[in-house]
Amino acid sequence: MLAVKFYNLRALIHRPLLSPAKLTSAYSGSTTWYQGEYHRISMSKRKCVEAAQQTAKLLHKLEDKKSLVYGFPWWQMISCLICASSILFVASRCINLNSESEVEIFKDIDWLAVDEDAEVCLQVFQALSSNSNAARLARDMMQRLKNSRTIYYGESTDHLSQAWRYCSETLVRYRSHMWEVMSLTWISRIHSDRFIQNPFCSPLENIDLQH
Amino acid sequence: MGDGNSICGNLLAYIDYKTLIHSTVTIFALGSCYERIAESKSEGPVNPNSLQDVRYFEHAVAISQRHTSKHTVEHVSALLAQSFYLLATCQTDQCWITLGLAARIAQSIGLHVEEGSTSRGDATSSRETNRRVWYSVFVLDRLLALQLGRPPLIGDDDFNVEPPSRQSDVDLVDSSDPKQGWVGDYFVAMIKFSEIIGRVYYNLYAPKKSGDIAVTLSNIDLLDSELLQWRSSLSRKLRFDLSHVFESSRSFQSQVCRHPITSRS
Repeated sequence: MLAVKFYNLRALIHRPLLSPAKLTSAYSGSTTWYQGEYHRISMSKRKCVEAAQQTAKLLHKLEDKKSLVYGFPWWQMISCLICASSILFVASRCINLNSESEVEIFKDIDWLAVDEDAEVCLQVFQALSSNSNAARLARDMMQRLKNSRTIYYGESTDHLSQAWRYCSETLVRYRSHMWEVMSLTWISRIHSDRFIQNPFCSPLENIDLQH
Repeated sequence: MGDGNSICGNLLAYIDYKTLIHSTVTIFALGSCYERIAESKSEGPVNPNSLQDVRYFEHAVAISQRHTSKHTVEHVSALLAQSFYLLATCQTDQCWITLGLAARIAQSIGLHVEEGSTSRGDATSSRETNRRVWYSVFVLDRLLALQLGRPPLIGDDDFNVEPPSRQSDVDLVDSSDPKQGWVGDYFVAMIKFSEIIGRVYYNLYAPKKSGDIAVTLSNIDLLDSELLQWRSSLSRKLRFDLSHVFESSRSFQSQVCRHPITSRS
């Protein structure tokens, strides 16, 4: 369990730079500094993706649902896996293809493996969903996020908008009043011109289902 | 578990043990909950009235509501157990409230500070219990803050308590398996980890976090280094990044079950 917590926190530490649009737009310093630090920013993105992958990989060798329930606290796993899978599902969109150094940093990332790791998270949500409303909702939200990925290939912005709206409505429905740390609001900053505006700063993870 | 209701009824007769009963019945609820989740096969909505763990928990809450006039360490422990059940059943918001109550009671009875003098015997044992209960609240507060994205209730400078001690402990040592060593190592590691969680929150996610990318970048580097340092400082049996060829992975997975509150005899 220490491993899950470690990789989850590491992904969260680096996640602000996975979609640095908001930070960079507010930056008023010299261009030279920014260019000089871009390598560090790209490395941070990579560490975020790797940490998310490591989180998912911990679940690759699960024998069955019992080993998941008794070996891990599923109530923490759901939030960790939402964090991991949301990163993995959108990671490819976060790469700046106009930056040679960033493309170089990510050149040995196996995106097929990234997709497979995200799928593992979905499978765990599915396994837990028979008795966990949180897992059921997590599964539905991540499934929609997965389906929305066509935006990256320029096909449509509608899918992502719909996915985001679904997540927002889920939040409202369950009266979730949370801040940003575990949220999916960061996703709305990726290619922000293509995204609908997030109506509130509430995250989407660990929804309280008793209301 | 089947005779839980009659057990509850009998236990309730011992009014002096009300807090113990509260904790015990809550632990029954947790056990039933684990069993239900692990054994279930069908998908679809579950009728809450058919759930044994719900009934146990309702008993525990009823006991708690009738007998909470005294603020004691045991009361804080019982509320912690209640918080774990609420977490396990995804009643996260209610857990936040219950844990908040536990933290406030803990502070009101002074668990967040301890005297400097060395004590012996029962006083030492009692102090050790207080430490564990306090840090259980602290760790859960930080984990919940991370999970919910809300500010931790307990700041780093808001308490002065020594970490749980190995020396005065007998019940955290698993005598059946000497290789397992001191189970408290995991707990101490979690305390350190929880401190980092607080810094991650305040530096990167708090409402007043810096919007300057240079500051953010610097904070990320510092926090990442701190996290890696934490991992490096773990005892070998807790190092999840090293190979443990001859050891069962089960011992690592079962770390989660070694929480001081639930493993106390």
